[in-house]
Amino acid sequence: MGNLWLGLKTALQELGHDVIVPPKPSKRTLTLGSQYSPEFACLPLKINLGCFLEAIEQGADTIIMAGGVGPCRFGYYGAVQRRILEDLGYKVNFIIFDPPQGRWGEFLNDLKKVGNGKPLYRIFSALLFGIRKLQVMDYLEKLGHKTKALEIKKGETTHILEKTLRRLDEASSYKEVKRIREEAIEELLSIPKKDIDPIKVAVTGEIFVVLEPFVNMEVENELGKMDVEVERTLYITDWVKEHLIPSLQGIRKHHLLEQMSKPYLGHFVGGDGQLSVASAVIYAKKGFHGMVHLMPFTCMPEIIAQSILPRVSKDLSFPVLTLVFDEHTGKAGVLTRLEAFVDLLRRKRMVSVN
Amino acid sequence: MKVGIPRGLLFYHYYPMWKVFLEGVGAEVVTSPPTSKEILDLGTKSSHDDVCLPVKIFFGHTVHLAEKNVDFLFIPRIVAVEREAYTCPKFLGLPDVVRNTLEDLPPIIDATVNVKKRDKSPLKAAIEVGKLLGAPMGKIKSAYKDACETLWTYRGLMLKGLTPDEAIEVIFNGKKLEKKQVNTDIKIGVIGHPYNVYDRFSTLDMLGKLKELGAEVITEEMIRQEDIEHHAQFLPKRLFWSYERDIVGAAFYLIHKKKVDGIINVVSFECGPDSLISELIQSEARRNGDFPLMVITLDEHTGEAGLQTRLEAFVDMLKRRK
Repeated sequence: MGNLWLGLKTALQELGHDVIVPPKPSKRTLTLGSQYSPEFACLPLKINLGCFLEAIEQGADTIIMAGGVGPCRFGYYGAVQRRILEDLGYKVNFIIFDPPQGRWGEFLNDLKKVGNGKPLYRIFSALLFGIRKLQVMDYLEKLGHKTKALEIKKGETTHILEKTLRRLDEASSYKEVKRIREEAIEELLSIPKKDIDPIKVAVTGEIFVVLEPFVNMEVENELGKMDVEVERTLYITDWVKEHLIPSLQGIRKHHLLEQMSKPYLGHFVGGDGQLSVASAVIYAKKGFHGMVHLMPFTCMPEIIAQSILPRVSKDLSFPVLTLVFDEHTGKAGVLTRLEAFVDLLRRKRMVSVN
Repeated sequence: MKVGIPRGLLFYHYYPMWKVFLEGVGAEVVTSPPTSKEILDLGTKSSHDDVCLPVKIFFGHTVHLAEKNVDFLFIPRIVAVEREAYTCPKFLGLPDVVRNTLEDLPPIIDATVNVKKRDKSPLKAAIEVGKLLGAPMGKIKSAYKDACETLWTYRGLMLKGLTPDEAIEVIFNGKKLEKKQVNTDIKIGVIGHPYNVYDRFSTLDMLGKLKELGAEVITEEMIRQEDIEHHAQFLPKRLFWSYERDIVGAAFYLIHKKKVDGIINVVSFECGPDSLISELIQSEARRNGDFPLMVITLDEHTGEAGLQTRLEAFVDMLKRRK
């Protein structure tokens, strides 16, 4: 899922594990995954399973997977995937992390399982180092969204970000991470830029599709190429923070989302459904020009959001484009729709300026 | 005061209870007619493309009722009916989706039932609805008690082998409970969401067709809750959707105990939970000596001839195995 691998790899390596990072999701991953997945399961499950199969091919013998307690299907992925792999005859260790929800004992036990005999504080410090790298990457991506819209030579930002990701992967101390961060910021800021006021678009939706460029046909990059500034509503560190570390900030954010979506959606619906509805309200108020809503085909929480968004969009006169992704989605179709959407936003802005 | 209850989704689980309660607090209850082509068309036209078939049908019933000039629509938000599980996410957002998709609706009664929270218990929800309809507290409480008793009667009747429609007839129209004569040698379990299995239109009367083919049908409602609970525990991890857990438990029970000759798993196109539980049921059937299992996926384009052929082939296959 996006750059999550970076953090996990770092943490697990710190604990002395041999980590196999499956190749970036590709057409092959998707084909493998959809071949063995339930037909109507959502895209994340299929890609996920494809990644597992590719990792097993490369010699992985233990799979670590996040769990959940509903109501989104994701919480039950692990159990189903384990069964599928068993039925296919693979013998792998499957560790599923369910959110603690008060049962810290079990959670810690699971943690110890991956701890490789190391004491708990070592496990936590390893995790924290992993999270630190993710934070840096998230920060740089946020900055990158701004420079992507303005850069004269398209693709420079992406190039820098990719290079930084590789360097971060190799970094082994906080000091090194800090240096890489500063250098990357420097590089991003020194990219030659156009002097324009870009159209601003929020990108929201189901977390996996939003974070995984292969799945969303690089929506963010493509928008950047059209001189559009993107703000993503979801980052991997937010997710980690909200789900693993109980904090005041998390509660506040949750409260805000609830309030913002209340007039339209009075209850949480699992996954990121409520976030999608709330984002439309929040970003309309922030003065953004539009929102792109990404979701996998058959995603339950997002279908609810999708059904409600037209009303929000109408009430606030805030254009929303919903893109649904499955294994048959073609890039050209997505591009055409994005171009049309951006044209619409440009025209709308022109009319309102005059 | 006329309150409309759309004949879809949780209707099959709770209708008698809702009706008794609403009438107990002084409302007149109106339901939409059984699903028809017209209702399905109303639903597909008014709902979003990506929702599942049962929700589309539910929309059809809702629009139909709205045109009937009811004063309220009864679409409660059923979030959780047991402490450790939710219902389908679509039920969590159902009143909002209806409200924000359809125009010119009568007000919706959307009391929340969430047994995980003390202030959202079924009784609290009942009181909320009762007050809205202007009933005094004493009346609400006695209506709630009657309603709960009716629910148990309803479940008891279905346990004896009645379909929801038949059970509703017995409860409200005083029809005599008929002892059914069964003289067939083939037993088939039809497993799926009640709103799919019992909707005669969307399943193209699958239960009737099976009866014609000489098969006795067992559904989830005819299996004791203890058995369902017990066999649902064979799942690798506790399933966090209540109704789906029941479906899996029922299927596992039938498979493990060999109570039937074969199982038909009815799922609807684009149903999220079905996509996973159907996989679990299929895997369990494979692991139990290739227990005969057929998955039928329903959508608004399901064709009669195709279904008939598949049912006949399945029944023939089961007969030959004997």
